[in-house]
Order: sequence, then structure tokens, then C-alpha cells
Amino acid sequence: MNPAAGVVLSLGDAAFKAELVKLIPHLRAFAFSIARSSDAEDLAQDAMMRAWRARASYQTGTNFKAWIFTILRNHHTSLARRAWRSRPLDPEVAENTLVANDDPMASEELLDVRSAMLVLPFDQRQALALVGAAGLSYKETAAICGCAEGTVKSRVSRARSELLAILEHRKHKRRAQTNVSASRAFETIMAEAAAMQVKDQPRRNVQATLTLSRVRARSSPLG
Amino acid sequence: MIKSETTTREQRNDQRRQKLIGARLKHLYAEVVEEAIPDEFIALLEKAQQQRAK
Repeated sequence: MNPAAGVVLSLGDAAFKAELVKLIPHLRAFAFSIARSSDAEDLAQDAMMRAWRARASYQTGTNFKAWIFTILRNHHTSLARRAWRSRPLDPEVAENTLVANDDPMASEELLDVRSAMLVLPFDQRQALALVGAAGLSYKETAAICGCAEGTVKSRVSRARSELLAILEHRKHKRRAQTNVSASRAFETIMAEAAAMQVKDQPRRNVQATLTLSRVRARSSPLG
Repeated sequence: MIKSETTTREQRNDQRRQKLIGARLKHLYAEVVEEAIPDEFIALLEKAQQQRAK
């Protein structure tokens, strides 16, 4: 064995930089899949700079994308652990905060999936982002996450069903809120209509009109 | 009988939604990949490389 082999195999700075620049779009996409918009750019930049500083340890011919994703994933894990310790958030509160922080220009559906992702435990989120969003294999993802392939599979499957549950829960909540406001609007209209009728009608019919409007409000299909 | 039919329908529904979620995750990822690299990234690398050259 030639002890100098490792040195010979590492890329020159210029070549390394060129490879790194090519992968910036993927670093950003991975970061945006697992972190909120306000943190994702920093996460991608930090990972890029960590990769640059660690360039001597990269060996030419090995999977560069996997190597750089491992750096981002490890950095995200340590940030997530720190964040978890400093503020153990109520999932419901976290959910609402994350939705409010998101890009208002994004379509509601996309925004929903993105923000629901952020409610998942970070290890499930990382596994689903690598397999489901970046399209990596279970094997590659296992190498990046430093765990067994079976662990990746179960994380991805748990992440998928949890994501579905979160989105369903939100849909029902939103529907319930819409119904409440619709029935309130209907009641207001009926009350106003009743008040107008009161002015025009003889005194004895007032009670009957109000009662009728209440009955109508209650039996409305919106209510 | 009715119950098993309902379960199958629910399962199909879940599978359909799972597919939709998967497609959205892929779409989100692809959208960011397509974006231009922010200047900041290149500037940071240039700076690091120049510091190394000094």
C-alpha cells in the first residue's frame, strides 16, 4: 500500500470548487425540504462551507453528492437537537407558527406539504426528503443518515403516514372553520332582514318573524 | 362485507393521497433545484478560496 495514495486521490481546490458549485442547487433543495424557508438558505450555506473546509477528506471517485448530503444532514441533526432541547414546542403551536412563517406566494397545497413536513421528527423528515423528494435509494439514504436500510424504510413509512394524518387533520379543521364563519354570516343576514321587517310590520308579528329567522338560520345547510 | 369494502375504498383513497403528497415533495425539490444559485453562495466560496491562496 502506498501511504501517499490518499493525498493523490484528493481533488485540487479549483476542481473541488467546480464540483461543489454544481451541487449547490441540490444542497439548497435538500435544505428547503427539511428546514423552514428562513433557515434553509443558512443551512445550505453552512453545509457548503463545511464541505469546502473538509475537502481534503473527500476522495475522488466516491459519491460526491452522498458525501455533501451527509455533511448537510449531520449539521441539520445537531441544529435540530439543539433546537429541540431549548424549546420543546407543542406540535399544534409549532404547526401554526410554521404555516405563518412560510412564503405567502406559494400555493396553498404546496405550502401545506412543506409546513407539515416541518412538524415531523427531524430524522423522519430527513429520510423522507432524501427518498421521497431527492429520489435517492434506501441504501444511499442509509449511508447518509448513518443507519441501517431497514431503519430508513420504517422512518420513511412513518413519515408518510404521519404527513397524511397532519394534512387530513388540517383539512377537517379548515372545513370546520369555514362552516362556522358561513353560518355566522347567514345568521347576521337573517337578523338584519328581521330587523328591517320589524320596522314595516305591526308589533304583534315581530316575535314570529324573529323566531322564523332563527329557525331558518339553524336549519341552513351551511350551519 | 360492507365494512371490508369501506376499508378497501379508504385504503385506495390513502394511496391516492400518498401519491399526491409524494408528487408534491418531488415538485418542491425540483423547483428549488431549478432556481438560480444565489450570489451569496459563490461569493462565500470565492472569499474562502482567496483566503487560502494568500
